[in-house]
Amino acid sequence: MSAGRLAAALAAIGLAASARPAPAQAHAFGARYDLPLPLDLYLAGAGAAVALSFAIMALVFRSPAGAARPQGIDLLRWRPLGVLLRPATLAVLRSLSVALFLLILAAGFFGNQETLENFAPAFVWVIWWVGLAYVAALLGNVWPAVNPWANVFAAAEQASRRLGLGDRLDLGVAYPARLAVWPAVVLFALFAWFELIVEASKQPAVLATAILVYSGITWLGMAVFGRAAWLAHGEAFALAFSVFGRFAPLGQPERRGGAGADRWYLRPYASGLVTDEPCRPSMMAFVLLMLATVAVDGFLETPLHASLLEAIASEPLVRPVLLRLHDLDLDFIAAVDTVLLVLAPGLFFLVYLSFSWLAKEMPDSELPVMKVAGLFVLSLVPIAIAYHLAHYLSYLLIAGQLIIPLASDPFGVGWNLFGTADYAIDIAVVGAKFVWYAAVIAIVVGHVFAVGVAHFVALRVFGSPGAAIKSQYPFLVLMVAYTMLSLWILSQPIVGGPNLAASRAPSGTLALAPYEFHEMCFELKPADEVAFEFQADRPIAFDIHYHDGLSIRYPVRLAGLSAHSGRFVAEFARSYCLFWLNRNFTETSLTYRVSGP
Amino acid sequence: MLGLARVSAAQDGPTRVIDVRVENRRVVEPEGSIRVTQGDVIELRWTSDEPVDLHLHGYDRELRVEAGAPASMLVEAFASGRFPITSHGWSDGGHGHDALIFLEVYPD
Repeated sequence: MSAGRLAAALAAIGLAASARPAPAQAHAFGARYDLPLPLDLYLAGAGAAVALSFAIMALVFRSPAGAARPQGIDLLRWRPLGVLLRPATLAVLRSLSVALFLLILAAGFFGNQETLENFAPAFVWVIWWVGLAYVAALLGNVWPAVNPWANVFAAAEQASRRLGLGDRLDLGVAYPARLAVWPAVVLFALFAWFELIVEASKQPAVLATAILVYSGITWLGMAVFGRAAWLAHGEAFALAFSVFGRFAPLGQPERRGGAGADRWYLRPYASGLVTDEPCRPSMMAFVLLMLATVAVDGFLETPLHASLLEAIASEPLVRPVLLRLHDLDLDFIAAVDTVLLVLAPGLFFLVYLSFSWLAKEMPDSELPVMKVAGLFVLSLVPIAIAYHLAHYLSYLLIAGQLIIPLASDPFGVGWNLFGTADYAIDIAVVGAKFVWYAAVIAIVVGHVFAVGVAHFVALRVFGSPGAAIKSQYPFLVLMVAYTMLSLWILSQPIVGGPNLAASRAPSGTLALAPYEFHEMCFELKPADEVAFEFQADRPIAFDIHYHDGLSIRYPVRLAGLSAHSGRFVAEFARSYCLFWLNRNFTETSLTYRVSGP
Repeated sequence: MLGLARVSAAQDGPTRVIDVRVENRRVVEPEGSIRVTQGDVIELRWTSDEPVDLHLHGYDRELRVEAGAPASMLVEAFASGRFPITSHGWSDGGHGHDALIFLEVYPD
C-alpha cells in the first residue's frame, strides 16, 4: 500500500491526525514558499555592502603591493585526513556514486511517474544540484570523487586493463586547444534551459532520458579525447562545481588537464578565486553564463517577469506569433523565457566587458581588455554563490526532506526500506526570520569577498596601490549593482506566472483584438458533452480541437460565422479546446456561453 | 477537570476569520494576499459562484466549495512563508498552476 493510501486508511479509522497529509504532498515539487525580503533588511544589506566596500578600499592603501597569494596548508600532512583519503575509501565512494546513478536511472524509467513519489527528481534537483553546490562552495569540490560519468568510465578502463584489452579506452585524439572549454559552455547552457524552462524536466522519465543523453555525450567525449581531457574541457558539471569550489576552504591546486589531483589544501575562503593567469575567453564565458543563469532563475519568479510576459502577449504585433505557437503546440511562456535565457548571458558579457574596459582605462593601463576581464571575472563568483545560497536555503531544507520518505520507497511502489516512508515534511523546519537574516548576511559577506578578491588581484596586476584603486572604482560599481540585483530578486514576492487567459469564466463577453484568440479547454472522457453558443458582431473562425502528438485534430472547424450553437460529444479521453479566432482587422466583440460536462 | 491535557489552540476558536469571495474564477475579495501572523489560527471562509476544489499548498489542505454555499478552511498558521492557494479542475488551456491567491504567514 502506498504511503498516501496508508494515511488515508488510518484517517478513515480515526487513528491519524485529521489533517495529516500524505507524506510527500505537503510540498509541490519545485515550489518555494519564501516570503519576500522586507524593505528594511534590503536597505540594510545594500547599505552594509556599500559601506564595507569603502572600508576594504581604505585598507588597500595600507597593504604592500604584490602580496603573496595564500597557499594554504597541505592537508595530507595531517595523518587522519591522509587515512580518510586512502584509495580504499575513494573506491568505496566511487562505487556508491555509480550505484546511486543507476538507482536514479532505474527509478526514473521504471518507478512511479508522480514527481513527488519518485526518488530521481528529488535527488537530482534538490540534493545534487542545490545540495552539492552548497558543499562545493562552502566545504570543497567533492564532485571529482563522486562524478558517476568519470567513475563509470574509469571502471570500464580498469576492467579493460584487467581483461588485457588495453590500457585506455579512448581513441587518443589530442584535444584541440582552440576548443578550450566551449563544449562545457554549450552543455551547461542546454542544462540551464532544461532546468529552468522545460517544465517536464521534473518528470521522472523525462529526467532519466536527459541524464542518459548527457551520459552518452560525456562518454563519447571521453572515448575520443580521453577521460581527463574531457573532464577538464567538456564535462559541464565538473567545470561548474570547480568554479564553486574555488571559493571553498578545501581545495586542490589547479592543474591543466588534471582530473582529481591528490593534494588537498586548507586555505582562506575565496583565495582560490585569486588568479595569476587570466581566464581564457571560453572560461570567462562559462563563469558569466553561470552568473547569468543564476540570476535568470530568480528573475523568472518575479512579478516583473509576469508583467513582462503579459505586456508582450498584449502587443498587437505579437498576435500572429502567438497563433503560430499555439498551432505548433509550443508554449508561449517557454518561448519568451528561452529568449530571455539566451539574452541574459550576452547582456552580462557586454556589461562585464564594458566595466573591465573602464577598469583598465582609469589607471591608464597598457593591459588588453580581455586580459583584465579574464583576471577579474572570478571575483564575481562569491556574489553568485551568496545569492544562490540565500535563494535556495529554505528550499533545500524543506524540499530536501522529500528524500527521507523517498529513500525508503525510491520507486514509489509502497516499499519501506528504512522505515521512513511515512515521514511528513515539516514546512516549519526553518522560519522566515532565519532565512531573511541568513540571506542578507550571506549576500553582504559574498559582496565583501568579491570586493576583497578583486582588490587583491588588482594589487598584483597593477602594481601600485594608486593604480589598483583607480581600477577598482568601476568594478565596485559593478559589484554593488550585482549585489543590489540579488537583493532585489530576494525582495520580490514569488509569483507562479503570468495570467494570459483572457477569461476563464464559463460565459461572458470579450473584445477580441485583430488576430486575438480566445480558448477554453476541458479534460473530457468519451461520451462527455460540452454545450456551447456564441455570437460575434463580425464573422469569426471557430473550432474545437485537440492535440494528438505533434499534430492537431479538428472535430469541429468553422469559419465566417457570426453566431453558432451546438453540443459537442467527446470521442476520446483527452483535453479538448474550444477556440475562437478574430481574423478581422478590427476589434470584434464575442459573447459566449459554454457549459462543461 | 483533572488530567485535562493542554487544549490545542484550534479548539478555542479561530483568532481571525477571513472571507474570501471567488467570482468568475478569480478572487474578488480580499485584494492582494491574505496576510496573517505566525501562530494565528485562522478561518478562511470561502464563497464561490461555481463549484471549486481548492488546495492550500505547504499546509496541504483541500476544500471543496459548492456554488453559493460558504465553506470554511481552519488553518493553524504554524509555519511562516508565502503559500499559494490553487484551484483544481478549471483548465485554462495550458498553465493550470496559477494561484488564486496567496496566504502569507509572517513571523511575529
